[in-house]
Amino acid sequence: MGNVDVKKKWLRGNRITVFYLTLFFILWEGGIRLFEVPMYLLPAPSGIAVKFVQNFPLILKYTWVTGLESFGGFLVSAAWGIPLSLIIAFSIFLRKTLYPFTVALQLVPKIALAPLFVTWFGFGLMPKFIIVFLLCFFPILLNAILGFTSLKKEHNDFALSTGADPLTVFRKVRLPAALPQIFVGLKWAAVNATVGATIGEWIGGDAGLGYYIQMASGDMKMDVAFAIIVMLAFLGLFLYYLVVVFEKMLVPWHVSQRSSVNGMMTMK
Amino acid sequence: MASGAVANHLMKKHGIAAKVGIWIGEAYLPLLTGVFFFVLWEALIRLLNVPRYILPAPSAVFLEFAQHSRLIWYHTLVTANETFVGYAIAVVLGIPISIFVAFSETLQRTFYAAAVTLGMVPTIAFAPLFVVWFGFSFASKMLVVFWVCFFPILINGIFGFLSLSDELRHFSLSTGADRVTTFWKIRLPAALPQVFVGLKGAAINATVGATIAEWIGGNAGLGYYIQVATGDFNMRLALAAIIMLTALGLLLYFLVILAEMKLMPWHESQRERG
Repeated sequence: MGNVDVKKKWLRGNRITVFYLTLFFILWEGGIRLFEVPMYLLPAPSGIAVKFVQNFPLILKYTWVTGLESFGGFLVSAAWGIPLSLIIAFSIFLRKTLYPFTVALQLVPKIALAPLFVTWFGFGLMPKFIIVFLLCFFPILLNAILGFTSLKKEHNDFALSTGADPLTVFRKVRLPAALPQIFVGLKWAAVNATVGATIGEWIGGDAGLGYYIQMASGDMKMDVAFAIIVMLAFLGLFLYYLVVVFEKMLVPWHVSQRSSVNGMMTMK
Repeated sequence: MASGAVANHLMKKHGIAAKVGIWIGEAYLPLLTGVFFFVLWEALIRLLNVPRYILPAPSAVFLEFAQHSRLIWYHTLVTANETFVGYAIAVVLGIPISIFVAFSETLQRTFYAAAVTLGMVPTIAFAPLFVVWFGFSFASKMLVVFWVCFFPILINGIFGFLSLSDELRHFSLSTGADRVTTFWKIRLPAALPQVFVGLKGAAINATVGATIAEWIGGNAGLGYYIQVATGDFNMRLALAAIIMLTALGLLLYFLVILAEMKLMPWHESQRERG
């Protein structure tokens, strides 16, 4: 298939998406108006848009709070997770002891610890950072270990046979080969980050989008709640695509040449 | 790999005794790490005189667990009910819908695109809305569990049912098999590994969803119990409830693994399990 054909098909596909998306919103709006559905049950898209604009200053203020919690926790877990994964990947002892232990910990609902952190660290930023950190740390760590350990033996042997020292082999062969899998972990963690911040704010918060959602839904202001969820979605997508941009920069070779196991979507 | 092959050979030759022996041989180091971790925890708490409202020793948690086992069991049943029903509905709806979407280009362009976007968005953010809509009842928690399980199942299901290569499909049709047979014999088995990725991810999400829903609006269940216990600074009880919650999550996860082993014994993830 030529490049032009691909582009044409993509445009046609996009037109279908846009068409049905518009239809969906028109039906939603029409249904609400026709059946006079009360706002506290389900607000109309127009009502959500109006509330989004009306409450924009407060929404923006809280977006900074939640963004800071998500981004800060994410960065700290990446800064710890990737070096730690290197140590575990290259130590046979740690791979036999610590690694199975971390895999088991992955299955523990870490979010259940959230009330403990609030009790220990109060209502400030700290408990949210820790919750986000815990939710981001394990996907980053486990995927990075998988990445660093899954280099084909032939590639490693070949690189060594060319006379390259182990450090060069790591820099030129093992690290680039591990990057796609590392980014699977980072993308997964980026999705988890906003989840962690939101839940942290629900349990003990006096600011942030999660706190605001709970306030609005408690007042039965569903239109405001939906407007905040839209903003939270944008924040989540922003973090996700920030990681994707970095991936494009660091892993410039073609998608089909990357090998990685797709992460499951979990929020543990 | 090699040790796995040797283990398989030994297992066939010596039966169950060898199986246990090999399992101990493979598992003793991680188990030792776990024991070491708990001993260290206990020792540090006693040595540094950490107050128990900050962090209790494992022995104190265990004692609390035994003393409150009846109440913990009651709350476990509440959470288990929410978790299993929500998960079951997500499976029953998610897998058929994923098949529909995989076979319709229009649905791929619309429903799939929307589902993927929602998958990247914190779906749990809707939890307070469910509580407002359905109250403090069982239904609101069950629906939150459904909501956080549905998307991983749907997205991985679509991915699985789409990923059959054209060659295999054409080959199957060329043998004279009709579309239904092709689906049952070729496409469904080929999709199963990816379908189970979604089912396992959803199994992890399920207990988390139930816990969060109970935090937001609940008067029973392990999540509610954890919050009450931490509110009373009873960290022993909170940790005891967390242990039970973990056990519940593991039970669901291993049920899915069991189904996976029954349904796709041929797959590489099932082979060479030392």
